[in-house]
Amino acid sequence: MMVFLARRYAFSSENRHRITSVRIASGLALCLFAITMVLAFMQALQTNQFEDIRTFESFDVHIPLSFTDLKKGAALVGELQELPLVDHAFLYSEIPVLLQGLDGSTLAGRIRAIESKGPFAEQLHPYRGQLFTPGTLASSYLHLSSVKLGESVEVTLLKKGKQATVIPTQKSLTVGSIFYTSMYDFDSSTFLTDLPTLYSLNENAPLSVGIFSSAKSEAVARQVRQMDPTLEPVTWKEANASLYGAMQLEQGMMALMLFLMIVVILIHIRNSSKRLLLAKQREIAMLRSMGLPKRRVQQLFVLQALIVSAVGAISGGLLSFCGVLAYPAFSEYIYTSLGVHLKLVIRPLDLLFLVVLVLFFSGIASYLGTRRILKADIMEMFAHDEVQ
Amino acid sequence: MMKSNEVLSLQGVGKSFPATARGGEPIEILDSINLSLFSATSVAITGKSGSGKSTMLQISAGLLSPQRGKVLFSGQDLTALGDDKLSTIRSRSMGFIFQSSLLLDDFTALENVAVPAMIAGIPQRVAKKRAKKLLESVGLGDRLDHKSDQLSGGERQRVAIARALVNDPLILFADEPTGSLDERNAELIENMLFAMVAEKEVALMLITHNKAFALRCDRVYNLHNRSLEVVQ
Repeated sequence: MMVFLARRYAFSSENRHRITSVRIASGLALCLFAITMVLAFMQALQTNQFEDIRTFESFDVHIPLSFTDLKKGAALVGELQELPLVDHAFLYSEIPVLLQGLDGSTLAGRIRAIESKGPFAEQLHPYRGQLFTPGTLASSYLHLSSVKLGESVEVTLLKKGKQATVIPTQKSLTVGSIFYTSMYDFDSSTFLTDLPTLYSLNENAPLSVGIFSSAKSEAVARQVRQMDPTLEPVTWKEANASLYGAMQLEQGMMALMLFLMIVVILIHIRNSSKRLLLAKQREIAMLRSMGLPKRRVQQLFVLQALIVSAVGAISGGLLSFCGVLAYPAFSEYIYTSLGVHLKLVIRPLDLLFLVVLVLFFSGIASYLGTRRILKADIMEMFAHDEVQ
Repeated sequence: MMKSNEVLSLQGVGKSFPATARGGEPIEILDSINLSLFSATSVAITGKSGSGKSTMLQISAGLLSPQRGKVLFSGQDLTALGDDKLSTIRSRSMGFIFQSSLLLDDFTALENVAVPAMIAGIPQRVAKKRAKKLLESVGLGDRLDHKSDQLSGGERQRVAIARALVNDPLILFADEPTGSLDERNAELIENMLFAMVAEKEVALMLITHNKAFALRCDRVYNLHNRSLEVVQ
């Protein structure tokens, strides 16, 4: 009997207030869709940014070495490569430089020397020329106005001196290739070359090992320390502590925004539930006069609210999945405006949490609303004007 | 003390309402009302508008609580019962007919009559079967699937009569059942109401302005100055 009445008061075509139920369910579906998509986009943006940082900037883990011997470094890389959590290990070095462009401009940045194969090199996009040609420098597409392919540029770097600790030295290098990546900060500050070329410029350049791993970077660092306690691995989170902190703050703000959106949903549910109950006040009085006890009236309208909310929440969930499925068709527009390829993913647990929250609050709002209405005498409820 | 076939007994019932929503000196509506109603008998309450007739009916049916006195229904004091027990009594032993028929607008005539039976715990199929039979008996066999707004005033009131009788109640409360009907329909409803009351042997408490209608009852009272005066 309760299901019969609750269904009639929810979406039945016989129900005069069906449009109110439809409005409530649509509102819920759209809000849920909006929250889920915002969540998916923000998570995708963060993931994309973190992936860029891990790919180009600091790798998953890096280990600063206390020596500059390339052969010894290669032997260590071989050992690290054997560790179960390490997908790929490689040597690299970086030194700060000032680069004099042909147009007279000065570019401050770094030269990174790294192996020409492997996951890092695969993520680089060559624009012109051959990347990692020995004795040449690769410059970013961003500096194309001042650093051109095939031309010689003056590089100022700091070398160990005999009387002073460091002395500035100038060298000439030919630009052998132009590249670009998906990370603007990396492109604007980095020139690339191979290790022998870098060491020909500065034989004291600090040597490091980079590691890519699909495992958690903390676990990889632990395994490296177990293998050789003298090594001091640095995870990408440690290397970018301030950026990671800022990202976490951003995530906190995002959570706050989503919380506010959820509050808006909950207010929508509360108001709609109140409206729906007011619309049925005279019918509640009739049911009461027919002998339906207060607690069953409450059960009836909680059940009705759950049916309406469930339809709204399920529709919202389906809309979200459709949105993610349809996203590839619009991804090009996102790429042209943001310059990133985002991979949208819906976390089922997040969605489930939202659905449960919506259902729980609908039930509570309806329960409390009905309880308030039922405080009035039956005859008082009869006298209430009908709300459309 | 109740007599064996006494269905309803009002004992010293008094009711007052606050003068304004903010309170103030209360207005006395009913004072020391005593009334007994036996099975298969009918009683009419007449009186001027605002004399407290409907209030008395609502108190008698447990829809409103009195400030003083007792309302005994088949020996049970309604004023002392909790909502569940009171609802059970209303569902299984009382039937209501209001002036404006008050049907459930989202339901058909058949469903309107079946719902009280379902509330009383009768399975939906059986309830609908019983509702159909009752609607046929009040001449609405061809209006089963019509909703409230598709029925005339007289037809709605006939549905209300069928609805009030669906659970075979001990007592029927009728508050101005013909008040909003034209003469022809009013007469039809009066005849139908008394025929059904006689057939089902239920007690009837009728509130009406219509003297002729009231005089068809076994006893007639006039509510005047907060007290009942015997007319017939």
